Amino acid sequence: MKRTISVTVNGKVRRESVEPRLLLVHFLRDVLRLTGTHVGCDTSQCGACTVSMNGLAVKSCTILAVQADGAEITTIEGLARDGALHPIQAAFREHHGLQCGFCTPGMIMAAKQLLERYPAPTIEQIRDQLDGNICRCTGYHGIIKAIEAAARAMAEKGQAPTTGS
Amino acid sequence: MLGKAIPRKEDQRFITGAGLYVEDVQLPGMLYAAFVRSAYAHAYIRRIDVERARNVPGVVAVITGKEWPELSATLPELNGSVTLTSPYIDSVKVVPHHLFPEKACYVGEQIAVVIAESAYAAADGVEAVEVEYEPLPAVASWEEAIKPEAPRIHKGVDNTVAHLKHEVGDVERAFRDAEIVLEKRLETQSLKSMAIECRAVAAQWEEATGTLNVWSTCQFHYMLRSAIAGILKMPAEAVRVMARDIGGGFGLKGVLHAEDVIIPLIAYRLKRPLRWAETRMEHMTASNHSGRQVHDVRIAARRDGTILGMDLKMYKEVGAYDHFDMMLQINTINHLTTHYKVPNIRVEGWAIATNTSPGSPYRGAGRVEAVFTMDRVLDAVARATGLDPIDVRLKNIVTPADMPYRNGMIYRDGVPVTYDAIDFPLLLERAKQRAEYDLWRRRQQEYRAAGRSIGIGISSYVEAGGLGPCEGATVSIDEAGRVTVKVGVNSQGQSHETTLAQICAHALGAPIDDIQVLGGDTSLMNIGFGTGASRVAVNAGNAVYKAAVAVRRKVVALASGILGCTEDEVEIADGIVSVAGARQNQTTLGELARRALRDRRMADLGGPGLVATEFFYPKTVTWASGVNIAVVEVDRETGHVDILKYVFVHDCGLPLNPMVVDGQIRGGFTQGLGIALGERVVYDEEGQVRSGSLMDYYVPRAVDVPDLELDHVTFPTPDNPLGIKSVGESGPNSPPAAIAAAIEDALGGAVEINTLPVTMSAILQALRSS
Ligand code: FES
Ligand code: FES
Repeated sequence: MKRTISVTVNGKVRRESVEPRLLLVHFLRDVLRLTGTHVGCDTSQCGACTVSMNGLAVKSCTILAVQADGAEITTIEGLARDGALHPIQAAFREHHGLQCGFCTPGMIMAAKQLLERYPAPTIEQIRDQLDGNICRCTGYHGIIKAIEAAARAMAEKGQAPTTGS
Repeated sequence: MLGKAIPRKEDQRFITGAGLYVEDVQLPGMLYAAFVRSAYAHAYIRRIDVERARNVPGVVAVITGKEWPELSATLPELNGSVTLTSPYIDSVKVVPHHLFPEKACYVGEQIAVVIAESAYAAADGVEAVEVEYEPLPAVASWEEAIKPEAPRIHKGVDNTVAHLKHEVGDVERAFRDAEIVLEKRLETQSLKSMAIECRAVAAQWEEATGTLNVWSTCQFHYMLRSAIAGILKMPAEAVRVMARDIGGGFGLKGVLHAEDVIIPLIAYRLKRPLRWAETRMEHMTASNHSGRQVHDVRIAARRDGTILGMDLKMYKEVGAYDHFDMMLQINTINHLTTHYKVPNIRVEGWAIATNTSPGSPYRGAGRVEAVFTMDRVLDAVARATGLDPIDVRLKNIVTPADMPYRNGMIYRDGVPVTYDAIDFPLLLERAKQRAEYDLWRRRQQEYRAAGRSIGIGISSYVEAGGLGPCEGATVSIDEAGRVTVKVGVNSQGQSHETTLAQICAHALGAPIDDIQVLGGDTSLMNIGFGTGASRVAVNAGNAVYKAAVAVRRKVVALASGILGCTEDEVEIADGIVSVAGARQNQTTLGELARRALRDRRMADLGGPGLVATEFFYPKTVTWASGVNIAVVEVDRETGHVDILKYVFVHDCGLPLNPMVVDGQIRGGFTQGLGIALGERVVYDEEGQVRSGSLMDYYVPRAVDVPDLELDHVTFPTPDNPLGIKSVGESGPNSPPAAIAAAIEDALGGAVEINTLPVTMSAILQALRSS
């Protein structure tokens, strides 16, 4: 019944045998023990489970682990490089983009995709693009400020966003 | 450090995915639980067939409640509420709430638990359990439940489970003297707190230490400890409840649900770690909700806009088990008059059981209902008299000259409601200025001529916070100068690790980077209460302040001996302890902590080490307040509401961290926006949940939230050493009333808005029928 899959997660190749029905989010959380990716619903509304798969933001609760066979995945745990926070992570802290922190990993991964698509987004674009991510704590204000600030910081650093993970 | 907008200390772990929420707890040999839940709102459970489920691969056990005697326990009757002492209540009937009921009283009520090697296998097991029900007629609304022929939810118990009344002044006379008498029925819906993290609990029996470890999303971890220890007849100390990283609470997690107790009991029996995490669907059906509330209100007024009296009847749906007796209605009453004088008031309230999950507080906890009523009343008086809504408010407002002002209500702690050192007219004036009220009133006419519907709504709230009885804190300094603050409260995102560290840094003179705040673990403090009722900043904050001051006193006493100066000459800054004016003669907090371990002088200073525990007991609640003004445009074709401007003026006493205060207001405002425009738990007549997922229950998204103009006004309170008030429940109170009023105003008096939420379809319907 079980199938062996090979997935590159945060730069490391992981070979595991999984049940075909296992959701990607549970593969990440329960098999790989990367618990930064959260589950907030069962109807793919909340976005807490957002990760980057082959450079695209996906809701990992809507994908089977076996569908990720051969894919490259970045989770919140893989965003900081050599101990240095990604500019989006730093901006979320600087601009109070989180309270309970539960939506935060998904928000940050969604923001990463957003900034790849719109390196200098307007506020309207940010609001629109966050449609698939719910935050119950912040009222989004700090999140929007953080994404604007991250866009500026990344532009200054010449960190041209790429579509790769 | 105090009052500074510094970034949060807790953020590092959350932005890197390193937080440890309950569902992240994974232990060797862990088992997973899934619940079999009632498909009916009201039914006898005749038979539970577990045979097939037992044979499902991975299933370890199926528990139906008959296995061990402790499973026949009931939940503690009143979930930490003390309202039975309220002078308003004259009758209350609490029905025992069994962990495993013989009769299901709401859809989603737990019937059996499947324990398995994986969460998937547990879910398979649930599918395989067959339950034979004997369905009974159900009642899902108070209107049905109070009918004489209505089915009883609990045998031999009237569906009206509690009653209260209270009168201030002479209401009959007020109505005799009235020039205007108005009557309204106002309705607010039941709501879900809808934290993005659902509930969860994990438990592990630790044989080596004889400790039952419990990880919980509960806001009141000591209450959970008592419940578990009580049922297992263990010393409280043998149960350790950890509730550290919690993904939002907002009241729903402040309640004991059956699963919170069942999971630890089973883990203890099976001697295997066990975890359960609620699904969103379970959350929408089985978890508590706030309960629909209907107000029949009569108002006596004069033609000049003076309110003479109010007569209010309140009907509240409390669900199948009323764990909070009438706490929410009492909150409504105690916040009812907000900034205004209502010299004669009579309230009567009924708590009515229905076949739904139990009722419990949601952020605001009765305040939204209070504010919506008072502002709708003021606006009705404005309409009846032809006065501007601002003028009606100024006519009735409590002024600084009236302070200390008592409105005749008695708070839940038994102390008369008293406003002092607050300038309500100033808040209103500030809001009016910030909103450019007069300008928008002129524009409203111009736009109307151009066929556009603009409206302005005003709302005022008060927020009692900092409810006792008390909280404690322990502050200690280690030999490296690192400071640890331990508290008996936990956090669901409120930023305690930062704000409480700021208080400690301020009081002690230690660098903030050297201070860590620990909470949410019953092993840290022997006694604590928890997080709810906007009580942490006032109670725990002042406890931290007192404990840090006590440690500072020890530092000063010891340092004066060691440095050879008087106590007055000792200065502490940035962790350096020195003699005033003589910079070379200095030591550090760490060095003093090391010496304090063995120095005999500590014998007179309370014992070894630089450590102190203090408790803060508030005299009564503090009163935060604010005024909101909304300017909206309504599209008469679609019913869409566009918020053109939203001003939020508020006082919460001295802010500990303005960034955090902003965040609390903005987050709370957004929840209020949801209440105004769409949030609603819906049951059909059979008690089936019609709002079973995030697709059917509106939660504001980023596109829905307007820019908020926030204005902080500070009226410090003399009632606690830090001069602080609460802010946690300020945000949601006024937006529903302000937005509803603005929509009504935009429609030019064609319709009255008396029901929340004001959805697009409700607007279209109202326009059509007008
Ligand atoms: S968990 Fe909610 S969208 Fe995936
Ligand atoms: S920070 Fe709590 S849900 Fe977003």
